[in-house]
Amino acid sequence: MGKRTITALAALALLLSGCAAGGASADGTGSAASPGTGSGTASGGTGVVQFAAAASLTDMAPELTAAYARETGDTTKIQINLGASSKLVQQANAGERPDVLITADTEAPKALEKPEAFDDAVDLASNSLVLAVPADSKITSADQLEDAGAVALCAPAVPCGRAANAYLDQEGITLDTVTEEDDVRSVLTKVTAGQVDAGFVYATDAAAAGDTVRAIELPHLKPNVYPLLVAGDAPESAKKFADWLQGDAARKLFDEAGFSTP
Amino acid sequence: MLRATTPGWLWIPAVIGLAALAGPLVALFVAADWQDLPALWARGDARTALGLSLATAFASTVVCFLLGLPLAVLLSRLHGTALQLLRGLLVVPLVLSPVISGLALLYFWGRQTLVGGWLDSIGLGIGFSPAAVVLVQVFVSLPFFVVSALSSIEAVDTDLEFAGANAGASSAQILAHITLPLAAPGILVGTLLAFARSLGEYGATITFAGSVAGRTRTLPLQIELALNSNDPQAALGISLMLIGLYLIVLVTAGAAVGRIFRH
Repeated sequence: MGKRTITALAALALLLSGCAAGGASADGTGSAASPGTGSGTASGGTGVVQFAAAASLTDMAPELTAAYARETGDTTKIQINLGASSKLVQQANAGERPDVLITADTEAPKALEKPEAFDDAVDLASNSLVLAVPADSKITSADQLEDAGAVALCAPAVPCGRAANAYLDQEGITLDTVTEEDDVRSVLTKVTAGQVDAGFVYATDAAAAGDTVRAIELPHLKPNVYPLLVAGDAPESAKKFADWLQGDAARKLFDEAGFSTP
Repeated sequence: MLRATTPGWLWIPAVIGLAALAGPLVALFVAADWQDLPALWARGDARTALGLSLATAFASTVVCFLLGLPLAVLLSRLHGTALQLLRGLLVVPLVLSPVISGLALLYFWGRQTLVGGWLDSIGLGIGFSPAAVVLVQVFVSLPFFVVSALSSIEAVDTDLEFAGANAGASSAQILAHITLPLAAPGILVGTLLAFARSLGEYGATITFAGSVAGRTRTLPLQIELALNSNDPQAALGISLMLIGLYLIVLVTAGAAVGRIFRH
């Protein structure tokens, strides 16, 4: 084959691959999906359940899957994908739909492009937003926020960011230096590392950080309700896992971590 | 003439490599909504991020040049184990994952550290400020600049430098009139590489400098925020803006290097 033919074929291959990727999903977000923070592979692997959980469930998710395997003896592999709820919804929209999805508020699933692919959501647990400060901080109440040097929140579209902004609007507080992180655990890290003077995290995250942070309660704030969504075409093992998550054993684990269960 | 020395089958892996590189980039262009782009680029947050990115990348490139050029010159004069050690030290940030770079910077410049805490106490706190972004960019880009400048300085014929010394030139004169002008293409490429690397830095920036609108939210951070806000079209648009900047850098590099070679 002549050099020109090969070059032409190469150019054609490039164009075709570009067009194929661009037309993957209706609104062209197929190629815009951000890489997941965990193993966000497309569902469909036989016997593997894709479990997507909000970042605030970082510690809870492996505990839940381990407890499920222990108590039911079900050996199905459950692959956990953790990330900000908005990112998980984004991945679901881009085609990496999980079998079981838990988001950190009921607002996040509204961004799903195909909500009919999931069964009706069930309220699983709720979590309250608190103000976390380093253990040696001089801040003792939420009123001192305006004097804080740097404050960390989640990005506005992430559930904890939404709640934090709702609190700030409610109290009419404007902050000087605000850093908007990708998810609640990044906020927690900035607080524990002493990079910021205060951060808005969930009560469970503050508890998970132990003695390194102090949690200050925020008055008059509605807690975030965590909905559980199961994909309509999820395998039997996924539905069994989802049912177990609503049971008493799972409820006890949630309570121990600091969540409130309905 | 080239056919005699170039085996034809080389095209196969080469084309596959090219396709793997160009495919995703082409996909970006195809997926974007070209009609909405001007409006997107005019948005306040995009323009703030653009201004911040250009300003910090420019500042860090200047710092890289001022610190890196002496370093490159000195490294080119060293021999033996000292050189190997220093070269090794130089290459580490080059290959280090940006998240690790961010962590390392945190442990040196962070508020709880000796250096960072001291700076904070004298009022020069760099936390969550453009200065922090410049620090990050210098850390990740300096190796690029030094490696590029070093290889081109080393390529300068030492006989020419000795000739200058023989004619009575001082070391500074030799550097200014012989070594650096001959090494100019590599130094220029290093400068542009450093600039491009600084523009694209994400992981270390968000770990160390955080994401503060107008102060540390550079273009890559703005893209990530848009993605997190269920706004993939905005993310795409800003990505294309960044790619546009890279293309301008590349074209400038090509033009400038071409001009130098023509002399």
